[in-house]
Parts: sequence; structure tokens; C-alpha cells
Amino acid sequence: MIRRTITSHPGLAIAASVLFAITIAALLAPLISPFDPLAFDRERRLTGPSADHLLGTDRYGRDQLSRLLYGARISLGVAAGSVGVALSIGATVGVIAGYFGGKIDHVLMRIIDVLFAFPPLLLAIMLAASLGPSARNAALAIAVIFLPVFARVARSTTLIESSKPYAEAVQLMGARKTRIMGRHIVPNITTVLAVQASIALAQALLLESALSFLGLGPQPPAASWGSILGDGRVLLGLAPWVTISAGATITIAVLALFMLGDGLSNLLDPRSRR
Amino acid sequence: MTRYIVRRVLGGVATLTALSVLVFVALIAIPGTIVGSTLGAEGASDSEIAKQLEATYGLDRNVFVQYFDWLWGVIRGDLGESWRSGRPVSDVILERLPLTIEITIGAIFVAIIIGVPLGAIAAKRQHTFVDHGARIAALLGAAIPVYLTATLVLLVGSENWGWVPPTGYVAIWSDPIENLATVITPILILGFSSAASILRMTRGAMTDVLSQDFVRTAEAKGLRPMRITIRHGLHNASIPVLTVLGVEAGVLLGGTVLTESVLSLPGVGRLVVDAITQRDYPVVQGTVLMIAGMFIAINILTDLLYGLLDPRIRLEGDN
Repeated sequence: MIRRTITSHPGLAIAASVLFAITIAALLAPLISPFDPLAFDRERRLTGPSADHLLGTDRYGRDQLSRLLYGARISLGVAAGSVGVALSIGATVGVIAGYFGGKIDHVLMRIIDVLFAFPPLLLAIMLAASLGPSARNAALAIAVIFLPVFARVARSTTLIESSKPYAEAVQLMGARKTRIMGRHIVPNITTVLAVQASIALAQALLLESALSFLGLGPQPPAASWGSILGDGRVLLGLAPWVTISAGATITIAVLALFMLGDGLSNLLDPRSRR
Repeated sequence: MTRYIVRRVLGGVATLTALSVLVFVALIAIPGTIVGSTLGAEGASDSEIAKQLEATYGLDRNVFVQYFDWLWGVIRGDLGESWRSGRPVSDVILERLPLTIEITIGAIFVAIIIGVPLGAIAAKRQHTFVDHGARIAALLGAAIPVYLTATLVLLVGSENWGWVPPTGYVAIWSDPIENLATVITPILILGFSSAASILRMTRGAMTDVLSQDFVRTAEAKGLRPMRITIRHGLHNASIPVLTVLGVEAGVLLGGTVLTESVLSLPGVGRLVVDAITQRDYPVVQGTVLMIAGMFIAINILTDLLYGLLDPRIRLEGDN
């Protein structure tokens, strides 16, 4: 079964292994980093990639590879944290609005509409600025962006599920509403939410890097991929490897998440099965 | 139709009002005020001067008074004055808006030109080399951060040809060539990144449409494949594609913040970021309200276009 999935969905398999590798590398950063990511080395400022420093050093002589490994913890942490918060709150709101309908639905959806009226990055910038620049606040700002997305998806799928015969059947059997929602509706909408979550993770990673790039993310010496890229931009002509390696890392991770989302939706959608 | 438009516009105004409260609260929450950043740490401790400044900016008033005073101004078309330059906020925005609008429209145009044909071709030749190639290109376009592309364009251009993109803005009607030279780089960068989602949506919608009975009928009638793709396929696939376009417009309006910052262009996007760092709240409020208003207007327009593209769609409240 697993082997068949891998051979028929090579993109999904590649994406999943890349993400697995990045996650492991982030978790094991203190063990596998060749250098201390914060250690200055005056002798080796802005040296290009070499056997010692595989990805070169930055303007303080800090090892770029180690910085990216540690940066992964912040970047992935912010992305996962924000999507986690947005998913749990957004999906709850969406299921409740979709299942009960009426006034609750109306009020909740109007609030969601207001959040939707902001261009996403603009809202994130404003929230991150007003909460004060830090990794945690960037995560909160990004969570607010994705909340309405999950709420809408959860609401529309709940509307479809709760009108299906099985949902009506359990209702006629006298099940309590909370039980119907928790035991019957939620398990049936998780696949849709999972696809949405992997796409949201990719976008969250991009948003986090954009906020950090603008200086609204983690503050130095802590650095995420986006802030490393932003740092490198100043010295672009002198040390392009800093910008390029950070940029490539972000792109690979985002690409893998997009491919995971695509792969999952193909795998879970029976119509597209070949 | 008129009833529908009136209802949507009223809804949009209500959303904007709610949004203005949100912006107001968010700005009050930003640590540090203009008084602190003007006087510096030393000056701020001198409470006499600080009080005077607070009075000048009206910050000593009740928060509700501050909000309704501002709102009353907005209703009369007065967005207040910049705390930094003292100029009317509406003037500052109007001066910067053309560039951002030009970039956004240009980028959407580029995204459509790349995304729609490639998406249609990918749908017709599913699971072939062309299809996979287009999808990989699209994924890359979406995955590479726009500020990275902009940075790399700067790097490659200046290293190899000593080229530095123009940073000033010349109105299109006063010097079209100079104008194009300024906007072409951000347009291409943003257009490429947005092409991805339009390609994906076009491919998906076209796949659905092309598998339907009326397409088989058209083929059986012996219509030319090109005609089937365009008249039967793209026409029917246009609704979901239009939806994505509306969403992308918002993404692009945000994306201009980044490209304008990297390429140092004097657009609205950079205006917001600068105003936030300088604690110039009237400018932030005015600009955010303006951008959100444009985004809401775009979404109403796309909904109206649905009805034009597909006569079967009856807009709610339209008898």
C-alpha cells in the first residue's frame, strides 16, 4: 500500500521526505551544527563557501550553515505554531457556524469578512508592528491571517457533511449536537483541512520570512531564514552566498509544502485517481 | 442589479468601518508613540514638553473622542495631516497611489498572459511533459519569495551590466518610456509570482470543463479544437479563474509592499511600512483604509463580472 502510494505519487513522496529531513535537521540543530551560530570570528568574515564553512560566513564571521540550521527552528516553529492556532480556532468557529447556522453563523461570518477585507501581508505587517517585533508576535499575526481561511473551509464542508444522510441518521437516533459535531462531522472534514493546512504552512513560511525580512520578526541575535536573508541583502555584492543560501532554503521548504498539499489533495480526491 | 450593487456597497462600507476600528486599536497598541520617538529617551522624561506635544497631536484626548473625530473627518473626505511632514494625508496618498496601481494592474495582466494559456494547455495535454513542466514552473513561481526575486534581479543587473533600476516615479502621461522603465521590473516579478495560482486554477477548472458532455458534443460536431478550447472551455472555466484573480489582487497589493521596499520605489506599500516605523498614525490609517477599500471594490467588481460571464448566475437580491 505504502509502496504503491510512493510509486504512483512520486511528488508527494519527495516532498514528504524533504520536509522530514528539514524538520529533523531543525530539531537536531544543536547536535549537527558545525559551529555555534552566534560565535563571531573576526578572521573569517565574509568568506565564501569552503570545506570548513560549507555555506560560507556572514559579516561577523558566523557560520552560515549553522545559522540556517538554527534559523529553521524559528522559521518552522513560527509557521507550525501560527497554522496550528489558526487551524484549531478557525476550524472550531467554522464547524459551529456551519452546523448551527442562523444568527451565530451570520455574526461569525461577518467578523471573518472584515479580516478578509485586508490584503494578507498588510494585515500581518500591521499586527506584527502593533504587537512589537518578535518571533512569537509574528506567529500571532500570521495566525490571524489564516483564521478566516480555515473558518470558511470548515464551515462550507460542515454544511455539506451535515446535510448528508448519515448525519441526519445520527441526529434522528437522538445523538447530542456536540457528539454529532465531534464524532461525525469533524472526522469527515479533516482531509480537506489537512490539504488546506499544508498550503497554509507554505504561505505562513513565506509570510514569516517577509515579516522577518522587514525587521518585524525575531530580533538579533536570534534569526529566522527571512532575517538572515534580509541581513545578507545589505552585502549582496560582497557576499551573495548569504542571500542565495537563505533564499534557496526558504524556496525548497515552501516548494515541498506546496507539493505536499497538491499530492495530498490528489491522493485524497477519488476523482483524480488514475 | 442596482439593488444588488447598493447592497454590496453598503456592506463594503460597513466592513470598512469595522476595519477602521481594528486599525485604530492596533495603532494604539504599537509600543512607543510619536512623542517618544520625536523627543528621544531624554526628552520624553521632560513631561512638560511631552505634554505639549501630546496636545498638539490630540493624543491627550479620550480614545473614543480621537476615533470619532478621525471618523468624522473621513466622512467629509479629510484624512487628517501627516504628523511627520504636516501635509494632508490624502495628498501624500494620491501622490503615491498611481505607481502602486500601475504595478498591481500590470502584474495581474502579466499573470493572466502567462497563467491562462499555460493552464489551458496543461489541461488539454494532461500528464504529458508540457503539463508537468508548466506545473513545476508554476510551483516555483509561487514558492520563491518576491523579495528574493527582486533582490536577485538587483544583484544580477548591477553585477553584470552595472544596471540599477530607476527609483523615481514619472507619471505615465508625462514620459511613458521613463515610466515603463520604472514599473517593468516590479510588474514582471510580481506577475510571475501570481501566474502560479492562476495557472493552477485554470488547469483545474479546464480539466473539469473539458470532461463534460457538451465538450464531447462539440468535438463530435467537428468543431476545430482551438475553438472548443476557447469558446467552450475557457469561457466556462472563467468563473473560478476570476475568483482567484480577485484574491490575487489582494496578494499583489501586499506584495507591492515588499517589491517597493526592495527596489526603493515611492509607492503606497512603502509608504505604509515607513509610516509604521515612524509612528505616523494618520498616514497609516489613511493608507490602510484606502488599500482595503480598493480591495473590497475589486471583490465587488469580480462578483458583478460573474453575472456578465455566466448569464445563469443570478446575483442575490437581484430580481
